[in-house]
Amino acid sequence: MVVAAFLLVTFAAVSAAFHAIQRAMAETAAAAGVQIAASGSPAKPDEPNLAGAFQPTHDLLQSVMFQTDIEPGPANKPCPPKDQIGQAKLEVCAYPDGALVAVTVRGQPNFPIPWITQFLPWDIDVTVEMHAVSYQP
Amino acid sequence: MSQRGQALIETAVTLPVLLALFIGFLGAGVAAQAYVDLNTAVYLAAASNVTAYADDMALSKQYAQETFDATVSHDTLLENTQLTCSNNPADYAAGAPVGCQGSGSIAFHRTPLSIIFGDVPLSASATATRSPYRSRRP
Repeated sequence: MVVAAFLLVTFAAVSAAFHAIQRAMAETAAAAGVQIAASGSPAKPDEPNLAGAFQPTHDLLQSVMFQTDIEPGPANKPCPPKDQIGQAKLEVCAYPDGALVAVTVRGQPNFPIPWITQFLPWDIDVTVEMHAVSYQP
Repeated sequence: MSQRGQALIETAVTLPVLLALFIGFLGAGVAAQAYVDLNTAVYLAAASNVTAYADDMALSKQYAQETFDATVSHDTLLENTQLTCSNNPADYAAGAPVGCQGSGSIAFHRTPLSIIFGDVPLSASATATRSPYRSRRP
């Protein structure tokens, strides 16, 4: 009984720690992406570079999301609800929100022990926003 | 005392300790998550502040506040959030660094963990530097 409880608590603690790391990285990755999105591109410096948000966000997420597909969401629109995004898949969506630009990372990452994923409701849903840069030429 | 009795006593002693450990881990995870969220919001607010034109404190603060408010509005764990950026006009000159501080509290009362934890205050700060050239008004 004690051994079983110990194993259960240990597993829960490891899972919680792992989820905390994944979510923290999602927040950091979205913040990196939104700064690119808010800054414009060399071709169009006075417009937010929404498409540019995906690559830096993807690169940061990849390091902690095991066997998880990280894909761009619908162009210039918010991500679909979580239940419309499949298992082991994250979507990165950059979209305008008035004078601001938003980047969302949403979905359910895979867990290192695959069959456990379906029992853990610990999904990722992080949105950050930033005012579009104003002083571009 | 039989072996079953001894096992029962051991279980009764150990289970509360394990449960406390588990709740402690969860609480620490929630606190870390809230701190990362606040820190990110303040960092982006400072970055937005320096994208306004130089020597325009009101516009800079407006950009920072809009960014901060929009980012924390997506977070269900933070409440009573506030942002303050420097009031020194010299910090808004081209090439000058400007600092922002954010505060808030972790809303444990919105989670089942409220039976153990009260709301915990948090604070974070960030500094960003305005571009020496591009931030000047054309």
